[in-house]
Amino acid sequence: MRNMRRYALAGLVLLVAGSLFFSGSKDGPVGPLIFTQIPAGIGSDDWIFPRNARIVSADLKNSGESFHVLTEEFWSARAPQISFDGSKMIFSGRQSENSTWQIWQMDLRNREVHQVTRDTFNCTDPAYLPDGRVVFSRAFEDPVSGWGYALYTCNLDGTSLRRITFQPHTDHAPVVMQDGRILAVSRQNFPEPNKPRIMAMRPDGTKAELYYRTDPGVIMNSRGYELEDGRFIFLERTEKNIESLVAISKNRPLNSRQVLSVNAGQNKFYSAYPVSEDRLIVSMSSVESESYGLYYFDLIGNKVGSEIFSNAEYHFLEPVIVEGRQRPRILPTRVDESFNTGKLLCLDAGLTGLGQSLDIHSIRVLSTDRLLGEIIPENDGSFYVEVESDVPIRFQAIDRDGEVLQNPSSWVWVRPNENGGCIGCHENRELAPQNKVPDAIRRGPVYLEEKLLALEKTTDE
Amino acid sequence: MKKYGRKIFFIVAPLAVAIVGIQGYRFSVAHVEYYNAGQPHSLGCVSCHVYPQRDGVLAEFLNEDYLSPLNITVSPDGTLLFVTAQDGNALLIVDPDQGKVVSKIDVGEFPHSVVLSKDSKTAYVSNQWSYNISAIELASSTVVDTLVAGIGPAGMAIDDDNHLYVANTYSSDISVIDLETGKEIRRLAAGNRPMSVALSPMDRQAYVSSRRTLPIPYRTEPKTELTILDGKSKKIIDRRYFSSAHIMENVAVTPQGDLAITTLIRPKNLVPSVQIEQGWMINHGIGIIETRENGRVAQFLLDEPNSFYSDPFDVVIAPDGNTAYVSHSGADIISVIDVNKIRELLADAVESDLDIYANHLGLSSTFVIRRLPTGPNPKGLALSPDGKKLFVAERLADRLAIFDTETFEPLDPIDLGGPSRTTVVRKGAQLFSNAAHTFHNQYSCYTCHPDGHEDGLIYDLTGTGRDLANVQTLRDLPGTSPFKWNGKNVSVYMQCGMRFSKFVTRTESFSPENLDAVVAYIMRDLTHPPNPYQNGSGKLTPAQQRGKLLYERTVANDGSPIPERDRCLTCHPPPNFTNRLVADVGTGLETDRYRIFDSPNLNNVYESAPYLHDGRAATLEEIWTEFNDNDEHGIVNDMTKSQLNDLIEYIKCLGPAETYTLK
Repeated sequence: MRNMRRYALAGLVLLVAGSLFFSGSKDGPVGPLIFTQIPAGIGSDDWIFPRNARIVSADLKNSGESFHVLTEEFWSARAPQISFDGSKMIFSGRQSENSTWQIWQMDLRNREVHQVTRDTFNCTDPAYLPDGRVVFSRAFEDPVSGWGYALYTCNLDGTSLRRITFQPHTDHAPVVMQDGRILAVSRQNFPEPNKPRIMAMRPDGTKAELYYRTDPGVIMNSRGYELEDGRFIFLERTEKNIESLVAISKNRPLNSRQVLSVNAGQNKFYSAYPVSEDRLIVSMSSVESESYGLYYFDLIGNKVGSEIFSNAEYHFLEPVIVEGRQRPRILPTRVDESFNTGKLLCLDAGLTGLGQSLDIHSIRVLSTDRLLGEIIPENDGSFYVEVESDVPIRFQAIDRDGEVLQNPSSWVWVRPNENGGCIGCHENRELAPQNKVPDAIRRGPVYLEEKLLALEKTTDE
Repeated sequence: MKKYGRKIFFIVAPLAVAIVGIQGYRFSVAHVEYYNAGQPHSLGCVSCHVYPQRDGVLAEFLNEDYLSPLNITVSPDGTLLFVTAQDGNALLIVDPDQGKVVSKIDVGEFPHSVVLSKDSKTAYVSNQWSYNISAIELASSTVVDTLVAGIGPAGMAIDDDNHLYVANTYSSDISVIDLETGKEIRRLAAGNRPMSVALSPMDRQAYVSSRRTLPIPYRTEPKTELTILDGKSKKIIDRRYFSSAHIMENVAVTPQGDLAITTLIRPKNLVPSVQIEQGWMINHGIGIIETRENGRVAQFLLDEPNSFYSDPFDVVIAPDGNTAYVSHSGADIISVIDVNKIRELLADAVESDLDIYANHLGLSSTFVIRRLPTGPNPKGLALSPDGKKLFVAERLADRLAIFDTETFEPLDPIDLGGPSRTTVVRKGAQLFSNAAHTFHNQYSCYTCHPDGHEDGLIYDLTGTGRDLANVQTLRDLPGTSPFKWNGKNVSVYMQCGMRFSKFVTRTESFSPENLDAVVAYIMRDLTHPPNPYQNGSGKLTPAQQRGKLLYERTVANDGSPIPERDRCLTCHPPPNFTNRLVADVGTGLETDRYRIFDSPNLNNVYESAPYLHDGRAATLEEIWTEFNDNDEHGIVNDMTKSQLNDLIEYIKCLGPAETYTLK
């Protein structure tokens, strides 16, 4: 009887607590909002490395003026991200005008800050990885391809710094998906600038692949985020300065683009963050205002909702909510740094996006500054090469007359000991491979440096 | 002295306890690390020594007798549902309006399907592991007859002539039984492991799907048969083949009779597994046969580029023929398919388009109109006669889900009365059957190990063309370690742990709790069906007796002694017919990193073709006639053809029962 009463009481308490919790969550997210505040005079082209930016927190339930500056000790700071347990924030910050941008972590319970990276190059756009490390974008300089930004990972104490992307691109705005992969905006810089795209890869830099491609002239600067309904949202800016909020299906990202802000008139969007199943917080500039404020965005009607904060003197960007969320999968790695090569298997070099088969005589493998080798594909079009790891390469198809059949492919790389694969060149990326043993695998991989030496020898003779 | 003795005791005893405790702890840590390959794992003795136990008081206490509903049939007036309870060995009769089981009738072992006679007075249940069919008089809810068909009866259908068609899984044939007499009037050769039967309108044809590929040249595409019978003559009129597909669990024909639709899996077993992304390992979909003259065979994937819907099991078609429903037992999803869109795609497609469609992961978004989430392991489906309700057997929840097919909203499910507790082993069954533990849900353990067995395929899991692996059965594993062909995994824990996630599932590995559950399920619940080569008399046949002598022989035909290492019995001794050691039997190739292989257990080995570590031998016979030139895999080259036949007859009857004591 006593137990019965206890159970009844416990049930009642749970019921009340549950109803309070759920009734509270209907009115908006519980907990403070964190975002980046940038002086209004700074244009969006400078928002990656802005001066005098600061990260602030605010209570969504109070009206606008109860901001707390979290990065007072910094000359500039931006790009906040919240840890999976909701207790910490990682961000990029610059301590003084003379220092570089580095990655920092703040314990939100006591606001203690510690430095994660200590680099001579700029590091920005950090994101937490599910295994306790962090991924971020870091500048690099290459003697051939010039400046760019690549993704790096490291521990939260800055140790085990590893580069994970190796193309002559600007790779930035990484976000970790629930499946454990990283999505990042990537724009080719060399040999000529190209339109940005979203790349997907494993956190060790393996299995990098095209996730989403934009139209020419589109710029993508801010991070995207996953929605609970299976979509991924992000922002695009066209040459005509139209800034749109875009969603794609995670299941079919290359063919599911939907502009969510189609009803938003001339309003411009910079960043968005999901706060519930059917609502976003967006950073938006209305026609009347030159600064970006924070607004709700209703996903059911795809409509801009009520204003949260705006101020003519500041842009309010990069909102995030301080709350715990599900940790993404931790993906296993097969990278073995004792190797300095990796392998690439192409199932049919002649296969194109239209399902046609090109009559390819050979495949040239190009690095940024030289021809690494030329491979004769097998009769079934397959080839299997072993190449130096962590080096960007491209493939170029050549016909029997030595004519270039197709422009070079996008830049690719393999990590040490990686075994990578593709179905064809410029193939339809929604095609699964045909179930057959590629002839090239029977022969084993061609080691490109040897092949090149052999070619040079033949030429000399 | 007594005083000192007590003092000494109080000093020595705690010391002894401490030493024993510390040593015991060290031993247990080392012991767990050895069996778990040093992977992080909570030290639970129960993980290995309790949960997987098959018998005993503890096993009884820890486990439950679940029902596991598999297939459903609806009465013509829609007032009753008939559900086979696979683990409950029963037929459940359910009143959907009352939402409860109204009758439970014990049948044979592992009942698969149920069909009703045309007058709805009798239900026939195929007992897949009893190798017979129970005829149940529904008025009295009693089994009134037991019909004999082939071995492993599974899917069934009854035509208007009162003939029962039965897909006999293990004997790979189809029985046609005249229900007037209860006698089998025809036995027809089907594909490999037939699973289901569907009749076209007016019973013009019967379509029989099958699970495994037909014998194919080594390292070529699987080819699985859909057998077509003429409804009048009850003879086979056509055999259609689905390339690079298998596990065609169920088939249905549209009410218009224009399409036969089967569920299928498209393995990429020939493609080096360099990645799982972009569908490089296993795809899931439907196969279509246009039933018109010169109709084509087509395949469509139900997957999407970044999301896979594994292990399609059942397919049912709405009475208007416009909508089909497919259960994905590894994804806990029902796909709702616009059949007219499929018809449009077919009408516009030339043959080369169909080749692309079969591998197109984006196409499903044009014809899959809904994905309905279900409880664990949705298997059999049935529609109410008006097509307005869809019933789903949630096998590992002992429950029937119901969907309103107009709104696609779930209605109140029907609890079939199984145990409310989810045991560790049951949780393991759910994990084993669910693809959520593979990157993008591409496949479950069940996909390659259907019913805990193996899929008969060879995979290139290293992605290098080396170390090809013939999938091995998971049935009756206790006492057969080590595992993996090279014998490097000393336990199932090691087999299913970290390295498994790196090479097979390619996502986060099982948590220790989930690993405990999966291992417990594999070790406790997965067993072989009765071995049909044991003739039931408790005695060996004359050929098996002769084979047994050859299996145990120590002297060759010419009288020379056979060295111990070259005798069958040395490496394959009872009770499990393995000495649990690795050996070089001359079957290693240049493409194998390791040339020595674990001596596999031979329990029910008859049903595990192809053979050898890389599946090179299509039959047991080929092990010795094709790949044992130098007598390294036992001395057999002196045997006559009939002696080898006898030896194989004996090996086929080896099973987990006390085979070796049979005389």
